[in-house]
Amino acid sequence: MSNILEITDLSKSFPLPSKKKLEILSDLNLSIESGISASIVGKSGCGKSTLLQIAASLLKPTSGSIKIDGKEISKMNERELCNLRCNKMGFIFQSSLLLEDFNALENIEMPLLIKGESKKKAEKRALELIDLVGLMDRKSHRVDQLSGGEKQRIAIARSLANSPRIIFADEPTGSLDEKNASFIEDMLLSLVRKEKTTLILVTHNNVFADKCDKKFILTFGKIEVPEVKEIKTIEDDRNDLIDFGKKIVNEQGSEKFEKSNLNIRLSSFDLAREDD
Amino acid sequence: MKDLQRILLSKILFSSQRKKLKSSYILITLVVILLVLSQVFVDSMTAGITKRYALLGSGHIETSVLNDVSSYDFIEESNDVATGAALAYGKDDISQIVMLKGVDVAYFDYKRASVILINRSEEESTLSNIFISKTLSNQLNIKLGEKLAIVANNGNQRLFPKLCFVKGIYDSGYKELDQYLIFCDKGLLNKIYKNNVMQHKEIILKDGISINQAIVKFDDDGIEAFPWYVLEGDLYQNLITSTQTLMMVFLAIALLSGFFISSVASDLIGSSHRSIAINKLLGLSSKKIRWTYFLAIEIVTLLSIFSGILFGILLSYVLPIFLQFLSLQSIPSLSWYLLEFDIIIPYKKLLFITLSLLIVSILSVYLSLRRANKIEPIYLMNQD
Repeated sequence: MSNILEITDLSKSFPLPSKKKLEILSDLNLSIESGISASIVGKSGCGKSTLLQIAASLLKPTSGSIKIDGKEISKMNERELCNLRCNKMGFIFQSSLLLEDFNALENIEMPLLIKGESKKKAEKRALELIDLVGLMDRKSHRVDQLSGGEKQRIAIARSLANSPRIIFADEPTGSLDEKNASFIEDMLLSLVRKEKTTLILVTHNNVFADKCDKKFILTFGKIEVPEVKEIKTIEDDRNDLIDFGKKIVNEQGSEKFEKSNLNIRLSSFDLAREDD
Repeated sequence: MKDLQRILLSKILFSSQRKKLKSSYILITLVVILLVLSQVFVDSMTAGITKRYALLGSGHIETSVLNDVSSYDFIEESNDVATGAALAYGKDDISQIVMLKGVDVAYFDYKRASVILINRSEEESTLSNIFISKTLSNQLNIKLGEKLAIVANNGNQRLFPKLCFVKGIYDSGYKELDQYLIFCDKGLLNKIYKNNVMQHKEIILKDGISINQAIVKFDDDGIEAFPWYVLEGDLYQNLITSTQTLMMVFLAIALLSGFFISSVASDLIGSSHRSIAINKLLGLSSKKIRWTYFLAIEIVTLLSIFSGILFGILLSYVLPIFLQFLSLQSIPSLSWYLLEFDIIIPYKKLLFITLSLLIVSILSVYLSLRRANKIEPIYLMNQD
C-alpha cells in the first residue's frame, strides 16, 4: 500500500512575547498508508491538533515537508489548496462546523457543489449519504433543529460527500455523551472502511483510538513508536455491527431513539455485505 | 459552479443576512428617491423659469425690430415690443421703479396664457390700460380697476407723468420676473418716450430648436441676436449655480452612500466569518466567496437604485400637488421660488445618478470584500 500522508522532519513553533519560541513539534516524521484508519493520541497540549492542522493544510509548518498523495502541500498557493481540499480531503471536528443557513441535506451537498458538481448530482449523492447516517427523516431540518449527535452524523456524511482520499478528524466525538460517542465512532470507522478512505483521527479517547487500524502516540513533539495493530477487515466490521445491533436490541428493544441507530448500523452492514 | 453560486447567493439574500440587506435596501432607496425628487424639482423649476422668461421677458432670442425674421422656419412667433423704465406711485406714498413693456393686443396668446393667470377688470376707462403683477399690486397696494400714476423720464430731461387704469393683474408665479414688470399698449410707450422709446423684436423658437443653433444661423445671415441667458445673465448664473450646487450635494451623497455600502459589505463579511471559513475549509476559494458577496450586495444596490428612481419619478408627479399646498401656506421665503411648473424628468441626469452610485458602490464593495481574503479555516479551530 502506498502512503497517502508523508510527514518528514516537521517542526512547528510559535513565537512568544519574550522573543523565545514555543516549540510544539520537533523533527517529526510520520507516514500513513492509503485506506487505513489511523489515530494519534497524546496528552492535552502535546500538539496533536497542531499536527492534524498542519497535515490538513490549515496551518503552515515552521519547517519540514508534508506530502499528501505524493504532493508537497506546505508551499501550495490558495488555489492549489482549494483544489486539494475540495477533491481529496474531508474534515470532521469536535463542533460539527455545519453551515447554519443550510439544512442537513444542503450541508452534505456543499463539498460536491464546490467541487463543481451539478445540484442534481450533489443531491443524489447527499441523499445516499444521509441515508447511510440514518437521518433521511431529518434531511430538511435546519442545523439548529438537530441534536449534537445528529450534527456530527451530518458532518461525517459531509466529509465523505466528495469521496475524499483522506479525512482529518479532530476529536469528532469530544462533545458527545458516551453512548452517542460510541455510536458515532463506530459509524465513522465503518463508513470510511466502506468508502475506502483514509482516516486520520486525533483524540484523547484511547477506546476510540484503539478501534482504528493504527495508533500513534505523540509525546514531546515527536511520534513514538507506533503500536503494531492488526488492520481490521470489512468482515470484522460486519461482525462488530451485528454484535452492536444485538446489544442494542437486547438492551432497549427496537422502539425508541436507538431504533434509528440500529437501522443505520444494519443498513451500513447491508451495504458492506453488498460490497463483499 | 452556477448551481453553487445560485445557492450561496440565495442564502445570503434570503437567510440570516436578509435583515441587514433589507435595511440597506430601504436606506439607499430613500436616498435615491430624495435625489430624484430634488433633481426633478430643480430641473423642472429651471425649465419653468426659463419658459416664463422666454414668454414674458425677452423671448428666447432678442434682436432689432429692423430685422425681418419671417423667413426662418425655426421661429414659432416674433413680437415687436417697446420697453422703458418708470417710477410707479402707489397708495400711502409707496413708489417703485418699474419696467414698462409695450406690446400688441395679440401678445397674450394661448402660449403666454398657459404661464400666467390674468384677472381682468370688467370696468372700462378712458385712461391707458395697464397690466400689473400680483406682486407689484401688493407692494403698491393697488387693486384691480384702480388707478396708478407712473412718471417716466423720456430722455429729454423732462419727467412725463401719466395716470393709468389697472385693467388686469397677472401672476406669473415667479416674483423675481414679474415684480417690476408692467404690460401696457405699445402706443402708450410711444406717447411717453416719443422718439427715445427702446424697441426690439422678441423671438420664440419652435419646440426642440436649440437657441445656440438659431443664434449661429442669425450670425451667418449677419443678424445680431442675443439669447435670453445673455440678457438675463444674473438669473442664468443663479440657475447654473443651483444646478451645480445640487450636483455637489449629489456627489457628497454618492460618496456617503459608497461609505455606507462599504460598511454594509464589511458588516456582512464580519457576520459571515464562520460560514466563510467553513466554505474555505470545504475548498471554496476566496475569489469565489468575494464574487458571491459582491453579487449579493450589488443586486441589493441595483434594486434599491432602480426602486429609488421608479418611486422618485412616480412621486415627482405628485410634487405639483405638494408645491401647490406649500404655495397656499403663504410662507414668505417660498415667494422667491417658482412653485407651479410642468414636471420634466431629466432621464440623462437620472442615468448619471444611477451610474455614479453604481460605480461608487462597486469600488467600495470591491475594497471592503478584501477582508474575506484574510479569513482562514484555521479560525474555526480556534473557535472549536
